[in-house]
Amino acid sequence: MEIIKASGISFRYGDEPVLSNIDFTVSTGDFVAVIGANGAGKSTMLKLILGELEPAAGVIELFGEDSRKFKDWPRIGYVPQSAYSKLSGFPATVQEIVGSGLYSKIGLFRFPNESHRERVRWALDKTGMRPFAKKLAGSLSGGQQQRVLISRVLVANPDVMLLDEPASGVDAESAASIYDLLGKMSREAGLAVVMVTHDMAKAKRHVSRVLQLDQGSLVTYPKTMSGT
Amino acid sequence: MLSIFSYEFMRRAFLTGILLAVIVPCIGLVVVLKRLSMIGDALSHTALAGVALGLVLGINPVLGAMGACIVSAFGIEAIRKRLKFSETSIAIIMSAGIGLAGVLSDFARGANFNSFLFGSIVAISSFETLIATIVSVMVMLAFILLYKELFYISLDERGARLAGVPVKAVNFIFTMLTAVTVSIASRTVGALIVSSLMVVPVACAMQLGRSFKQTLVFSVAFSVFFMVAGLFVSYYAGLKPGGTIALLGVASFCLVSVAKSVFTKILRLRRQEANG
Repeated sequence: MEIIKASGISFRYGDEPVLSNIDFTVSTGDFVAVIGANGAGKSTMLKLILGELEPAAGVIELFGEDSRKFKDWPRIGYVPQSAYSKLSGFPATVQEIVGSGLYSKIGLFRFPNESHRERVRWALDKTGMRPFAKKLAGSLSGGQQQRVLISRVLVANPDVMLLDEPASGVDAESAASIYDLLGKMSREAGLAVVMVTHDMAKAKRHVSRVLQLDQGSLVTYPKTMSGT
Repeated sequence: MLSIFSYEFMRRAFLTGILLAVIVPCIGLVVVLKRLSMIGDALSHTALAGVALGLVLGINPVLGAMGACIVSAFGIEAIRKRLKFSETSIAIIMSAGIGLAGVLSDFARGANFNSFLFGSIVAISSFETLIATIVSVMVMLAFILLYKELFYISLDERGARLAGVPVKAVNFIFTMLTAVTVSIASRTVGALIVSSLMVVPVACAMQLGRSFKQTLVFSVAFSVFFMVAGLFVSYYAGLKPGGTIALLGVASFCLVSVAKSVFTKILRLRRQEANG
C-alpha cells in the first residue's frame, strides 16, 4: 500500500529555498533513511509530511488523500529528536509515557481500561522495555529513552513511523540496536519507517532505501531496493 | 488545642483552605512541567488589578479578580504564540497587572484591598466560601476528566498535537481553570503568595514521586499539610496565614532536599559496601 506520495514538493523559508521539486513515495514495509548535510531540509521534509508546514508547490498525499485535508493522524506515528530533553526530569514512569500514545484513540473524557494496559505491555515487549515499565523514564540511558518514545508511537498501531534523528545523543551500540529494532518492525510487521539521520554509515546496513537531500534537491542513493 | 474549631470563621477557613490546597497543586503540576512556573505570579498580580477594579466599581472583588485573571491568562497565550517566548509573555502581563493594580489601588484604599496582598483566609465570607467550593469541585472534575490529555501536553505538546489530542481545546480549558483557581486562591493565601502554593508543593513532590500519579498525590498531600499546619501555626502564633503557609512550604522544600540528598548518599555508600 502506498502510504506517502510526494509530488513536485517545493518549500522556502522567506526568500530562502529549502526544498525544490521533490518526488518520492513510501509504501508498507519500506524502511527509508532521509540523509543530507545540516540545513539540507531533512526536518523540513518531516514537518511537511506531518502537516506542520505547507508546501509552496506540489502535493503530499497520505493514504491517497491530500495532506491538507488528511484527518486520520493516529495512523502516522512521530518520534521527535532528543528523547533526553523530553524525558529528563519529567516525573513519569515508562508505562505512563507509553500509555500516552493511546490517549487520542481513547478519546476525551474516557479512561484507559485493561485492554489499553495490555496494549502498553505489548508495545514494551516489542521494544524490549518491559522490565523497565515502572522505572522513571528520565532515569534511563539515552538509547533506552529513545526506545520508550518508539514504544509510545508503536502502541497506537500506526501504519508509518517518522523519526527525527533517532540515534542522536546515544552511543554506537544503542544506535545499532535502535536501527535493528526499526528494521525488524518494518520487515516483520510491515510498518513503514521514515527516519531522518545524519548517521549514514551506521544506518545504511539496516534501511531498504535512502533518500539523499543535497541543496534542496533529492538524490537517490545507490542502495535502492524499491523504487522512488 | 482544638479550640480553634469553636470559631465559625476558622471552620470556614479550614474548609476553604483545604479545598484550595487540593486544586492549586493540580494546576501547579501542569504549570511547572510546562515550564510556566511564573504564570501564577503574573496572574495573581493581575488578580490584584481586578480586585482594585472591583472595589472601585463596587463589584465583588473576587469576581473582579476572576475576570482580570481570565483576560490575562488568554493575553499570555496570545502573546506567547506571537513572540514564541513564554517568559516574555508572562513578564508583559505581569507588568500590566502590577501597573494597573498600582494605579487603581489609589482609588481603592482600605483593608479590603490590602487583605488581597497577603490573603485573609480567616476573614472570608460565606459567599466567598461558596464560590471557592463551586470552583474547587469544577476544577477537580475538569482535572480528572482531562488528566490524560494534560499529562500528554505537559510532556510533549507538539507530540500530543501530532497524535491527534485536541491540544487547543484542552489548553483553553486549562487556561480558564488556572485563571479561576489563582483568583480564588488570591483571596485566601494572598496574591503575593499564591504562586508559591502553586509551585512549592510540586517542587517537594517532584523530589519524591516515582511516577506522574504519585507526584500529583504527593503535591496535593504537601499542599494540604502546608495549609493546615500554616493555619494552626498562624492562629496560635498570631501570624499572617498566607505568609506562614508560604514559609512552611519553603522550609519543607529545604528539608526534603537535604533529606533526599543524605538518603541518596547513604544508599550509595551501602551499595558500595555490599559490592565490596
